[in-house]
Amino acid sequence: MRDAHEPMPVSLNVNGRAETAWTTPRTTLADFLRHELGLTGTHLGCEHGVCGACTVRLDGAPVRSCLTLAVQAEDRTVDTVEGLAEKGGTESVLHPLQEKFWKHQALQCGFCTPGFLLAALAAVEENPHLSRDEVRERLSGNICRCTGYQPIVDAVVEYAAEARGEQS
Amino acid sequence: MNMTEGWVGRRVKRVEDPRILLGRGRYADDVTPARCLHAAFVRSPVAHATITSLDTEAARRATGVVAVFTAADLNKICLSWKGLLDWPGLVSGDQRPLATGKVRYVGEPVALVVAESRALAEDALELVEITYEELTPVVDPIRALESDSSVVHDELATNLAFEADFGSGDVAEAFAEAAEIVEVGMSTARHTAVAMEPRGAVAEFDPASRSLTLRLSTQAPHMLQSTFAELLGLRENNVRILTDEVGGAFGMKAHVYPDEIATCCASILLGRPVKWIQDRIESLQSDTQARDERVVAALAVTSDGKILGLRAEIISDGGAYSVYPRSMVTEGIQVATIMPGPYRVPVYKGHLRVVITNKAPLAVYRGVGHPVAILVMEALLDETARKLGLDPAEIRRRNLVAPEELPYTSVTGHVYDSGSHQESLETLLGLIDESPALAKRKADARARGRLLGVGLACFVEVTAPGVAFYGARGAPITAHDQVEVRVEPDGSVTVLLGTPGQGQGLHTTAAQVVADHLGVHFDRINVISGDTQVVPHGTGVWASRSAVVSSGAAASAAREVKERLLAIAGHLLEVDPSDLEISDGSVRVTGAPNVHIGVDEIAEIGHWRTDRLPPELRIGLSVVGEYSGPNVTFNNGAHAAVVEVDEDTGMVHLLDYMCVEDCGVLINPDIVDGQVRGGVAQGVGGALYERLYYDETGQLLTSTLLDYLLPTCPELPDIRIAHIETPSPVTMLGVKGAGEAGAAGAPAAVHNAVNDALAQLGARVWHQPITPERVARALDEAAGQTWPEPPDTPGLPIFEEDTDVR
Amino acid sequence: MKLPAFAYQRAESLDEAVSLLAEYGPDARVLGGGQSLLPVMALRMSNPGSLIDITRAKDLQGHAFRAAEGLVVSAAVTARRLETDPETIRRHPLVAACLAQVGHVEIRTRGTVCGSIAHADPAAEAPALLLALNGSVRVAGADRRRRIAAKDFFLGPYLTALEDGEVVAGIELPLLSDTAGWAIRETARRSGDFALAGVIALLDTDADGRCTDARIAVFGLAGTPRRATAAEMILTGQPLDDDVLTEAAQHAFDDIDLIGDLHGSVTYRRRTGIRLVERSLIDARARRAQSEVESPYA
Repeated sequence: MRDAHEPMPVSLNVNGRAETAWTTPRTTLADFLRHELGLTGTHLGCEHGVCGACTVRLDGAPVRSCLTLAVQAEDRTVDTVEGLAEKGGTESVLHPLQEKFWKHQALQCGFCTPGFLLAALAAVEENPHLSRDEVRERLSGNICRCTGYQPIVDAVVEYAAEARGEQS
Repeated sequence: MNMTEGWVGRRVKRVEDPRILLGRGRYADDVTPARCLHAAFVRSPVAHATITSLDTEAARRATGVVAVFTAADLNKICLSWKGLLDWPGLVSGDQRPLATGKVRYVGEPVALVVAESRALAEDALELVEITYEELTPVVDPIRALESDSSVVHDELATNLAFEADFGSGDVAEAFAEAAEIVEVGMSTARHTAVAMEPRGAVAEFDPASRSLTLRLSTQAPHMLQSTFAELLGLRENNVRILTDEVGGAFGMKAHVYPDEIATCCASILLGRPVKWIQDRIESLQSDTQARDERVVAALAVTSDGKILGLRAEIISDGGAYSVYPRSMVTEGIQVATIMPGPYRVPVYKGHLRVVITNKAPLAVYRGVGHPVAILVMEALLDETARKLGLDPAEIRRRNLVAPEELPYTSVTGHVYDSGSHQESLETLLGLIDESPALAKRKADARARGRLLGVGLACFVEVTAPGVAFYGARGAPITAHDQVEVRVEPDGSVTVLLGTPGQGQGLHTTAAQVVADHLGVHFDRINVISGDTQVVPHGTGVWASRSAVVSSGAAASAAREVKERLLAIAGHLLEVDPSDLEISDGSVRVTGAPNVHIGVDEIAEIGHWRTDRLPPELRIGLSVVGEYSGPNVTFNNGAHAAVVEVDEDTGMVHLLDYMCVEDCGVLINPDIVDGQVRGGVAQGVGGALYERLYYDETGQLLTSTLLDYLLPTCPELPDIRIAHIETPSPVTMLGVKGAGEAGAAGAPAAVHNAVNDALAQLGARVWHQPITPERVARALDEAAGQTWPEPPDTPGLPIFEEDTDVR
Repeated sequence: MKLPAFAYQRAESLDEAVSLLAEYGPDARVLGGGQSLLPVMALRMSNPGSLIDITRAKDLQGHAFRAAEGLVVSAAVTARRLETDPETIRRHPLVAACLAQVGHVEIRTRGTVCGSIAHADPAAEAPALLLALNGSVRVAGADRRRRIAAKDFFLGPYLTALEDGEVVAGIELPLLSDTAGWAIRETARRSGDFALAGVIALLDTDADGRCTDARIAVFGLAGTPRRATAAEMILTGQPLDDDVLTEAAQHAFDDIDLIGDLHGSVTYRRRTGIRLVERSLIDARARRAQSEVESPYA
């Protein structure tokens, strides 16, 4: 039988890079990303699956990294906010959705922002034809305390339109 | 300078955003020093009890545990505190890092476990053995005032922390002359800020120099530098408070918290870095709370709806301790003093009592008293309009302060230096969708089993308070923040703000102001804040002050630096500096545009080639500027909400929301819009969803985000905003604060909309949040159907000296 | 708010899950999507010594349409997968519609349908769905496999007929007749919240328009999902006119003990429940009428 405190190796692909680290079974994917891999862009706002700040993509699908064990991500692909931008020379070039967030001021304190970005990207990839109301509904699992959501919706709607090939 | 071509007023994208968007923000938990230990707290599971035994031995022996501390350990190195501003009669019990002898609210820290990881620290919490002998909890603030009530702080022998009257004039006479008297009794529920980033502290004590470096999620670094130095017996210049990104604060992160200072104590006692990151249960239990107000108020009017007088009886449930240093009375006092609002109220008496109870401390949260004051006043106006058969807009029109009356001194002594009180209402009415007409929309909704309602709320909001607010009352909270503007040798500009940001975009607005007042391009400016060892003094972000105070100080520093640049340029170009102007980083001779010199060249000479400059020239291109301004400046505006109430379920659906905001000169309209929207969202939260629910034993039933409900995306409509810009004649840039106006007006607008809807069936609701339960019950009771359960409504105060008035 | 320590074992098959459960003893728990279990553990309201992760068990991944049992869903199938599965949307649209109401997308992406059944939250959709469909739960234990009917499975809040060492291996969700009309409605404080009151209604009629099958499952109202049997009896055999639907709704809770909490009292829940039942019956009747014109198999 295994011991509860015994660390286990976890190998996974994070933002296109193979990573391996040892961790205890109780370590959530969120804590693993933040503290084992140093990817602190994924934030913890409630640790009980309600606020959505910790949302990452697991094999492309949006999940709560606070309600996913790191050991459950073994052999999986994880995308976090740090992986969105392209490295262009010495400057990081914002992802088009990040650009829309910047343009529409879809963030203030920014703590919820990584979760919104990952949730919205998954949503638009699944269905670029989401209406404004559908975007609102689809993002209902993420809490923002600063913006009143409207600029987030603006950013996502405009990004989706461009993803469909329309001019905004 | 031609401001219309400057950076002020532009919708500039925020300089704060790229690194946050890239996931490179640095919040409190994002930094972990080497050899860092992790703290977790044993918190009281009961509201009121004597601690009869406390045994930490088993916890000390647990895996990974380095130390377990109790009050006995920490009281040796940390003084007690209480927030006693210089308000006559205000009393409070002492507060300490860990509960000493007694616990007074659920969630109060009792013991501190320090371990190699947070998880291991949490594992050991349940091994700390504590025996509580429960005392009668003081939960209902009205019952708490009765002579046979249990007492929260034995040494005070009362639960009444503070009592005062506000207003002036002969209220009894006004009410005797009134054609109509309308009375309402209302309450707002306990809320808390729920900043998305919980609080957190990373303390590093250096025993050699007796210095403390403390990374905190806070909105008031310098205030905490002073208070922590005082309480821990350290020299102020040996306390360094650090913040980078702060994930929201909203007034809640502006206090001395037991758990944060206990974390410092642990680092001092262990000589190692100690990190404590709050979890959400701790946040809901132990962050300062707000809005727990019960008000009975009456309005006396003439037959044509002119206000003759106003009176209010206010009970503010202050919780267990008066927070340090702001105290527990600010919210109640603002409920009492803001209530007359933008209306001509000739006489007023507000009687306030702030009560100590076994709940988490009540303090300031975005809007501080305004949401409650405005709610009560606006509800009174709507009820009066119904009684007189007046349109809700018309009764407001008849009572709003007129432009020719400005500056206007309110009956509570507030000075409205300028404003657009009437114009805001008219602009708002123009925003309300009247196609089809509201009457038809109401009829259409009825056909679908829905009740449509529209609610208005006009407001004034106190912003950018001067030293009279806190400093003159004995708290280490200034009004004169400082900003340093520094031109680097290559001509780029560094701005050091005394005041940090928590997401409002202060770095962006400061850069816009400096760009204009110094005459350099926005992109050449870097802004730094949040390190008390580096930046000049400021007391943080509160009371919608930063845009006014920080920008004012930045402008003053920038102007001084500009003068020095011009003096150097004048020498180099051999012209009188008064004939020079700077724009976009270039100094030109007025009328001779071909004669110019770049700021970069001046800066280079000012740093490396001072041999070319005369010795008497002041060449330092770094200046600290400060803000000086009035005691307060009020913004104003008006809100409208359109709701539908589902008769079957009692659910309220917010369909449309409009806000007119006049905060004087707009530095960055996008940022102001963001403040308005975010504030409205929080106000809607209070009106419809948010409630910290303490049961009759003082147990908190809402300690997760599944129970404490925040509005999410589908619950909010798009918010349509119109701006009026009436510059303040008394602040440095004509700017007025804007941060709380959304939160201030929204509860009233939503509430009035719901009651407009319910009034179609003769029903009303009087308590927030307006839950489906309360709506359904109101509808049933209006239809003559009683419910067997006791109503979910708090008790209300009654008017003192009732017979005098009616 | 960190999880308490536990040993972790990944089961590669149902048999291995069952034997690991036996090996690790009574304080072992099955870990599916973890969307209900992990929050409870984070709040330290549950402290299992070990978790047996079945999400990668090879024989628990699928779902299939079977003539006898209907839609059979294995334990590792997530709500999101079923909700977005074109065949499920076409052949068992009520299942897709109900699952789309569960929490938020991010929760449904990890959360399994069977996990929700095993968790038995009285306000959850999946247990009520199972009950409305007269479905059953396939249970595997060390010594036996058994099938438990939905009506016998839910014993109380978070309490089921599962015994120590048993695993929910799958569920059976019988199909509806081509002509049946259905509806799901729920009232929640916010989008995605657990229901203050929820109703799943099914109606079928004969050629004369008389009700041949009436099923009403309610959730969020009592200690378990419940069938509103009194209302079902009123409807059965009757023409589905407005008066009958209204009368059925009025009696929906005659034999159900409602439970109130801080989000809604018993009276609120009864009042809202009655009206939701009525609305759901109207919706189901409308869908019944529609199905005459366009059969999903057409």
